[in-house]
Amino acid sequence: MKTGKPTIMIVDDERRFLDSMSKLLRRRGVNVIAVEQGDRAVRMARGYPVDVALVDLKMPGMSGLVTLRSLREDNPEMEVVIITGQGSDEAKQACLDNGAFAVLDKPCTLDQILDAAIEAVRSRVMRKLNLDDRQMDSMLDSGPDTSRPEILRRLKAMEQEAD
Amino acid sequence: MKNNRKSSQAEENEKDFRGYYQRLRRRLFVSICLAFLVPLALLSVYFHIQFNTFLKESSRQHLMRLAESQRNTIDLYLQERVANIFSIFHRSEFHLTPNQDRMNSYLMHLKEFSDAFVDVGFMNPEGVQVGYAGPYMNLKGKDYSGEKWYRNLMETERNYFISDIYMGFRNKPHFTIAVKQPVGDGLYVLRATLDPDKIYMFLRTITRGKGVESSLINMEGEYQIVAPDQGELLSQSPHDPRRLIRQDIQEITLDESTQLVAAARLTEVPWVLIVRQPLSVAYAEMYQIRRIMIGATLLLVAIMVTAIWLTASRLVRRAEETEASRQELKTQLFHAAKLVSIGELAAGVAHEINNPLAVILSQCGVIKDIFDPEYGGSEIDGQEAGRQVREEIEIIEEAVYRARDITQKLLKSSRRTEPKLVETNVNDLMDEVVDGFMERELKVSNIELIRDYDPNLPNILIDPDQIRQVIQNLVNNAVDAIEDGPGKITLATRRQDYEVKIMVSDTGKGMTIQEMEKIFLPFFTTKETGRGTGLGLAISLNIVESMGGSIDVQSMPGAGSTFIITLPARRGAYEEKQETSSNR
Repeated sequence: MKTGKPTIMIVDDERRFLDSMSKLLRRRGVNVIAVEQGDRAVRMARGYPVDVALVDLKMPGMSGLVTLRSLREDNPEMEVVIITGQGSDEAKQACLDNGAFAVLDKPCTLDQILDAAIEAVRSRVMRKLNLDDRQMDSMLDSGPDTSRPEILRRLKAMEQEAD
Repeated sequence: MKNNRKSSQAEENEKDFRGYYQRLRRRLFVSICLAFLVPLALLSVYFHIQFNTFLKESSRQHLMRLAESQRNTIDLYLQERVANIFSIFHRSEFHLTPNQDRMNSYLMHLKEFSDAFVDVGFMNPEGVQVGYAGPYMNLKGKDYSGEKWYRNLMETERNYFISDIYMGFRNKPHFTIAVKQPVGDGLYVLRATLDPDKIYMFLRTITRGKGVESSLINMEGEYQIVAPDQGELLSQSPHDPRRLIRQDIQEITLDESTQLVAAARLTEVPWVLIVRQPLSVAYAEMYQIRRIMIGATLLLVAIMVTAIWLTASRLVRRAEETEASRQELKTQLFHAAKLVSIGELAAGVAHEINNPLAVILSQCGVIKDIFDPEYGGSEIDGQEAGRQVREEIEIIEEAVYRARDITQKLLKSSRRTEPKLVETNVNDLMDEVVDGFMERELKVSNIELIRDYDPNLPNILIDPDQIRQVIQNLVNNAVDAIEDGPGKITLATRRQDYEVKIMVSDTGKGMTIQEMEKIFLPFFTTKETGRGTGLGLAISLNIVESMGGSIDVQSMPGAGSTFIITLPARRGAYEEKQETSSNR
């Protein structure tokens, strides 16, 4: 599915958050898969290639931590950013230990989410292309639009080229 | 509302507390007083009675001895008078039929011994007074054989007789000493009368002792010798001689004045010597000592009561202080428990609040997009209207950020994560807080920043991130306290024994005592609504206490405030610092 668009999966039991965040991301040229339950997220991720998953830590049913582990087990390439409204330092550390790329405090701004997604994709691209920070920066700096969605798109494009 | 109720309840508690200690003080005082004073009172009453008895007895003994000595003196006096009369018989000029000159010389002879002699008479064996010298010349030639005293003299085994006072032929009170002397077959009698007044004078001269009155009565209770103001001769005295003799000494009330009366029976005459002393005089010493004793006892009691009161007060004050510090501890515990429970509550609630906040925030983004042509929004009412809506939405977003700050802080305050302790130089840490942005901001606000660091500050084991947060918080508070400058903020560090002190002082508005009591309570703030969450100091205290430290405040309205963080430095931390740096 070479759309050239980055794909972000949002897993949150809060329907309205899912809706508004999906709208925001889609408007910024991001494919969004919005799911309300962890187990559904795991199943969906098997069918669709997801660049970054945003997972709420506290959910009914499959918890954020279990969802994180399942997602990472199924797709080692997929980066998972945990969003939590309550996470203690211990819980956050546990997430990072279980392969989360980052932990964001809820409520977070769109920019924070985009920044986390950019970092996640960027580090993966750097790994794949074996680039260092400086080389990466110079490659991204080309072009007039330096908005976050644009950078994310460029990163995605670089990744697809590499593949 | 809740606070008000709580404080009034606290006042009531304090009132109860005070009342309790007042009651305790009273009870303690009364029971110690009883414990000390009752035995003391019993003892003093006992000694008082004993002493009184002793003194009374001693006064009585004294009067008794006085009576006896007077009695002896009077006996001796009378014996002398008898001997005086006998001596006439043995004079060379004695004659069985004395003429007047002889009688006169006898009288002169007697008067040489005592001026009490009034006259002298000489009786032949028939009892006729054949010779007489004295003022009552008509008595010469009188027949005395029928007189009582004469008969008594004849009957008695002794060779003399002393009569009671009687009026006799001369019709004047007098008494007679008569002696008999057998010459051949006849029994001649020499008799002399004595003036009771003179004997009274004699009695007066031998009477020693204050207020002592002596008198003599015969066995019928008639006065024989008496002070003129006490009674008349031969009148009935109020005393019963027989009873007096039986009891030796007794207290008798006469004319509303009680007197101590001692009696002694004369040996020469059947008379009783009565020695009287008013009780007030007899017992004067006792009364004096009693007054001294009562005074001394009262003084002693007063001293003891004072001492007991002071002791009880001191004890109770100690207890009160202990209780007060216990109460304070309880308040602190309550405060700590409240912090924990608030934290737990906050942790539970924060997630629930954060979720809708996240929705609001993302929804704000969606609405902004609607009015933003960049993201495919329509310009329904023109570009200007869209910009305005976006601006309004940003205000909502700001409110969300503020709410987020509160929930984040609440969560932080409840998270009792173990601090990650690192050897830290506090001076550097403080510079990190204020350097750069903060310093520029202070300059803009016209606030002067003074750094007064102790260069020899040892490194201490703290969580630098958390302490940085605390210092940041205190500096923020200091800036807020200064309101609109100019003002000064002083950052100071000091080493004191095994402690490191961090001081943040401002020249701001300061705080009242009431405010100072509450500043560490969660949600208490003096800042205007929206500027402070009321959690900063509560969290700071939590952090500092978790590292074994404390925060103190000194403040005065109008003069500014100083917050002092005290953190423990390990023993030898300073020396260690030297070692590790030299090892490297």
